[in-house]
Amino acid sequence: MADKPMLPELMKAHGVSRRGFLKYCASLTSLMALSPAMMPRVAHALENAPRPSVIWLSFQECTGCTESITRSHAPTIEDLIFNAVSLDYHHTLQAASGHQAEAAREKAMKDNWGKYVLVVDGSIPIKNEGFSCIAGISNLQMLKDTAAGAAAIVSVGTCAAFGGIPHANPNPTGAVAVSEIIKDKPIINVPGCPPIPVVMTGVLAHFLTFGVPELDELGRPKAFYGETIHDRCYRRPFYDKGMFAEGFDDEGAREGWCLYKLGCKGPTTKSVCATLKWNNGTSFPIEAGHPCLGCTEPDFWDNGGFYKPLSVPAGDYRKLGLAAVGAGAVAGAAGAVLARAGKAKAAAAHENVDAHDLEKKS
Amino acid sequence: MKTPDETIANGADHMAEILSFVGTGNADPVLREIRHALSQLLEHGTESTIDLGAIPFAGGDERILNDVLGDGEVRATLTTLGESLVQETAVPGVWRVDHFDEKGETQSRFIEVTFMPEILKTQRQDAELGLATLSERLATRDEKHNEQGDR
Repeated sequence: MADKPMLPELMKAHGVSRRGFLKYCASLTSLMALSPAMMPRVAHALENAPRPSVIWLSFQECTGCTESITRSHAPTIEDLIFNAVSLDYHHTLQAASGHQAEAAREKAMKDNWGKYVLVVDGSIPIKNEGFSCIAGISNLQMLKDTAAGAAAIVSVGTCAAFGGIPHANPNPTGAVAVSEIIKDKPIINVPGCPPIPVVMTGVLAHFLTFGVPELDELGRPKAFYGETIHDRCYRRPFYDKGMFAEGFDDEGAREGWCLYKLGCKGPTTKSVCATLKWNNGTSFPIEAGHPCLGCTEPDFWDNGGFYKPLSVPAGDYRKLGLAAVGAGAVAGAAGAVLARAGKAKAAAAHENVDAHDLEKKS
Repeated sequence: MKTPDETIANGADHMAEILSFVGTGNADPVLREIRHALSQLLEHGTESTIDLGAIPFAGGDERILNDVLGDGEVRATLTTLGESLVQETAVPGVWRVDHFDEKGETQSRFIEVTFMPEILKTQRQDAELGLATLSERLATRDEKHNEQGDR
């Protein structure tokens, strides 16, 4: 895979003009929350940066992340950029198997020691290393060996970033995130179940051009995880007006009102789903009429039920913090002090409250 | 009883109406930034770009921006990786550049303060490819003429 042509040749081969490339760079610069003045540098770096060797390890996962990143209906420039890295090992995508595949990984590691990018999807079982192995090597051992020579690690998907579904109660395999094992390398978490393809290419593009992007407290790039889905949701004006769907087939649902009362986790979920959307920008879950599940946040599977309103501590928000949950859920609906008081009371009583209840209390 | 399409259209209309009156108060600062950028272009030749996607901007702000800047003399549509709309406002030197993807979804939106947006110019690499294409077409044409001459 290392002798693939560089991006300019790929662009020509796919009939993409220089204007198209400039357009992509302008949008990518905007997407990465960089100043428009940086656009020429982004273009220059994407054209001239040496293609980094990428080793992709898949552990306890469902392959949804790989599906998300590689699937597209037509060749896009995102594909070109994805092809412009030298993907030297990915056991789902590569033709080689068995000893040949492992030899490719070892060669890429040796040839690019200290420089390659390690992408991981899936969590790592530590209760018994034998629970998940590749070519007779445990996931834990393979991660430690491969991470040792990596310049940086990108944890793709919620499983690699936070443990994800394998980590859900009762976590029979003792699944953990990459960051709980590797402590001496820069780790970029790109959570989502799966992540949006352009977020992945955006993170890779940022790494190619300017190195590790600015990260939040959970190791996520701020450019893509800086705001909640609720902040940018097209249904937000209904929330602000107190207009909520109460069921999946009532008037509110038909009129496209806010899904907060149906358990939408948008207020506490940081992601760009509402702006970048899915399936080439077609839609996103809330637009399709379903509440956000909160899949870019830690422990989303264990947070008490996808259809319970957020105001109550329905589950274990241990990594998120109750204050953040409360502040996000009632923004614009009640004073912060009163909201905290309402939430604390609800938490103590384990009662269901929503924005209306909090407003009444104010 | 409304059809599903009518219901969706109805919801979209409500939404558009609500959003068109929502403002963040950011339109005025952006307009003043544009004025400063235009004076810099005239005094020093310095070009500027403002990323409208990087600023909290609601429908009401967009309405103010459009009212003040207006529509100018030039309007161009690029068709590469989806459409892009490049239009000069009624304030010459101030351009709107809106990029859309293949599905028509907005990718990015900019105000460019410049005498000519870069993306409107023919790029050197494209012109080189154009020269090769034209030469090839002329060669094909010559070949055809020669064949006809032989007959």
